[in-house]
Amino acid sequence: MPSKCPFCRRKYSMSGAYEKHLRTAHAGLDIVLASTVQYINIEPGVLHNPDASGRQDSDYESDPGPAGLESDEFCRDISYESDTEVLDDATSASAGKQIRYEGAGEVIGDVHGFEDEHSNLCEDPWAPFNSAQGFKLASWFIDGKVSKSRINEYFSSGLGNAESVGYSSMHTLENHLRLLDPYSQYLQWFEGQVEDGQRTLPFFYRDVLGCVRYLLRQIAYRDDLVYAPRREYDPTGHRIYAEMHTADWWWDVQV
Amino acid sequence: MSDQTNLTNFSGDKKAWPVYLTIGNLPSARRNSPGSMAVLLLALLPIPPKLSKSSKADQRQRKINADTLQDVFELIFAPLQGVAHSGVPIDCADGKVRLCFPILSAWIADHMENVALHGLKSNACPKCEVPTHELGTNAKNYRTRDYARYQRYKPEIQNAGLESDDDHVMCDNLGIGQNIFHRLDRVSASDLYKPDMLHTIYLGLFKHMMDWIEGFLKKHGRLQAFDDVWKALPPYPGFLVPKKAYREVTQWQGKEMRNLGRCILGVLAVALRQPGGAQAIPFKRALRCVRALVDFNMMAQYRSHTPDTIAYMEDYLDQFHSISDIFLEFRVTKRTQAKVDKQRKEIRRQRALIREPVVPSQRRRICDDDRDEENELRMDMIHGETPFNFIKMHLLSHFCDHIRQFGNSQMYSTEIGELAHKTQIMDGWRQSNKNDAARQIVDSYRRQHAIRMRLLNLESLQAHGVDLLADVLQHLDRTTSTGSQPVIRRRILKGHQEDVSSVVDFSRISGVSLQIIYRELIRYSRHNLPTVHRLPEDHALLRSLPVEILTQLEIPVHAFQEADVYEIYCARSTGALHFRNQGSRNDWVWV
Repeated sequence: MPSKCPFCRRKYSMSGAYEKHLRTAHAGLDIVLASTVQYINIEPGVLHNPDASGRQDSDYESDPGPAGLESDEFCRDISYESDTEVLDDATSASAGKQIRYEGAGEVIGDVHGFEDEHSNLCEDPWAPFNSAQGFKLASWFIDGKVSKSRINEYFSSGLGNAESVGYSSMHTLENHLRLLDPYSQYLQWFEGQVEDGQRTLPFFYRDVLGCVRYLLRQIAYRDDLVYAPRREYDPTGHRIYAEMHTADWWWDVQV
Repeated sequence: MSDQTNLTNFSGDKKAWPVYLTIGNLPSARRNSPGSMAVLLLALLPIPPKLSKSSKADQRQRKINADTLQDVFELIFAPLQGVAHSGVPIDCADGKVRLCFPILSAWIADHMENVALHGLKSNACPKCEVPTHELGTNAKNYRTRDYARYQRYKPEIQNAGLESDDDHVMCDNLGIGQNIFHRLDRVSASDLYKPDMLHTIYLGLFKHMMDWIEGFLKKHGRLQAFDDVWKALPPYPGFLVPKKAYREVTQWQGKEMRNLGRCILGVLAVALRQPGGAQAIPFKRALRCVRALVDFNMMAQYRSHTPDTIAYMEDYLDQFHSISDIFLEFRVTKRTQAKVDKQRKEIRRQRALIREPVVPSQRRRICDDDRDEENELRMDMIHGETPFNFIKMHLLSHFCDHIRQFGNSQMYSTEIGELAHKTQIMDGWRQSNKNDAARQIVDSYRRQHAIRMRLLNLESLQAHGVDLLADVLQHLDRTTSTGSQPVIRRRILKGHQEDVSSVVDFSRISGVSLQIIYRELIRYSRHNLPTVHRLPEDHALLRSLPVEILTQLEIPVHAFQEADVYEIYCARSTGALHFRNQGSRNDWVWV
């Protein structure tokens, strides 16, 4: 429910932002402020004890109606009204209209063998290829979309030195490539059949969870991964909505 | 997590229906960049046979298809079901195990596919229960769709044929089949819909807007002026100069439409300059309408928003809706047109019946009056029919709320799927022998992916300062992939030409006399250079100095709203020579 500032033409949908605006832009109007901030006292229990509302194992569809929703929003806004910088995920307490994911993003241990894997990659970056040349040739073949028969021809006609690259045909190259990605088991393909009454059609799919595991596991994304939502503000104190983790939805489901 | 689907046409009748998956934990710039490999192909779905609309057997077949699709998706998403409630420990890239709740939060697809998967009719909004006749108005605040409820009510309605008033609105737009997603745990099906810049704005409203503008220009006789201005657009860095008049282009791509959005307002303003007396008001209104839409589009492209910018977007949208009626007459459907024609005929017939013979001197005035009356009636008719009711008009109203909930709208555009299509599907298809192609497509991309992923991982290690073997570093330097570190850019001067080694050669090629060059060089060095670097003032010495012609200045410009991303603009000066076979190019640089 967007609230419009009665003194200037700005509109706000979040009551937190609206309140901030009132405080900063119309600082002299204490009376007005008092009348708009009454809701602080509505449900103090929820504000200070987020676990009271707890986790509900219901579907979204059967969630509290609009009445409950309103008070929830108010409470949430109050909890971060004084925050101006990026919040840590642990500091904000709120009761939400959507179901919380208890402990989402929580660190619960170390990955087994993570250091070993790191040092292995550093020491033998081209494994399972025996040399950089082997890897480079393979990537040249694959990126250049050289066909299988041409690759076999390349070796059989003696153009390449099978000794130094470590494979001598498409078949052996394929075996190397299979081992190249240590997490390829996450990305395995499954085949399914559907019958539409007339014909049987094949289709292919991967394990959804496997794909997620695969992406989260890649060292390449290490620096970019975000595990918890944040609220960001610009220098004038306005909320910034940019990436997904700075917007409301993520806040609603994971705190 | 966000998924996207798209139908791709292969040669002839071959089609594929890929579903992709990526994770929301990655920032959008990284996730959607082509080199990051973060978009995984999740499934290749079976394509249902095409059906004609008529027969009963086909209706049954359609129902079967919908059910089959439902089953397939349920199979694919089955692993998510339990996990959404209890969470699952997942190894993360920083060496920690985290408790994760993977949930489907976005489904990026074009509108037709969205309605198919949500089990709606094609003129229904997947997000809210807006009735069809309200699509063209700026109506907000309709109830969000509650798909689980639909499922409960639907059988009853179909069996009994009874419905209360409330349910009538609700079930009005439901199509065959059910929402694919409604049974997923913890997924709110109505939140899955994402605003799609490519199809709603670029290929949707911009396209419509151009039709209206064309009609508008034609009515006011400014079409030629518009084309002239359009073709005379000057080059500007990052802007593609149109080579043809607007009407000569037969097919528009999203990229070209975006380009159009940048210049259309200026072109239109010039084309509509110096309006005649009666034209002033419609011209002004048309410009304001186009401006509101263009502004909205520009704002929607922002990568980061504040409450202010979102409020601006809402304002622009309101403005657009309040004055879009200026273009109403150019969006007349055939049915309305037929009605208008019929009405006119009727009027003329009646007039002929009652008309008395008139004096020739009065005839002209009467004719004018008649025409005015006809036009007035026609406009009334057109306004009464409100033909702005199409879905893309309505979808705009969800942009603002969506930004508040899910962040900038650009990262949800269907454009990101197009690239995945090319590398993951099309290339595989081309390499296959077209026999049991799906299997080969799936296989061929796996190889590429393994290689690229290894390189990316090594690159990341390098960025962290881990010691790597020399040949690894060398290889990484040469492979062109996404550099994860920001590189500080400087201005770079580039370009040189054969046969220029001294000032004499330079004078010969540029056609400037030696004396002028000497004078200018000396003047420049006196004024601008420190004493040690001054040029010799003796002409004979100057003559023998080495010279290089520089034709290109690379200027790094901060990308809008980004801290460490630069776009390189090239300012070129080719003199009288041709640039890429298209006439000379001499850019202006303001210093």
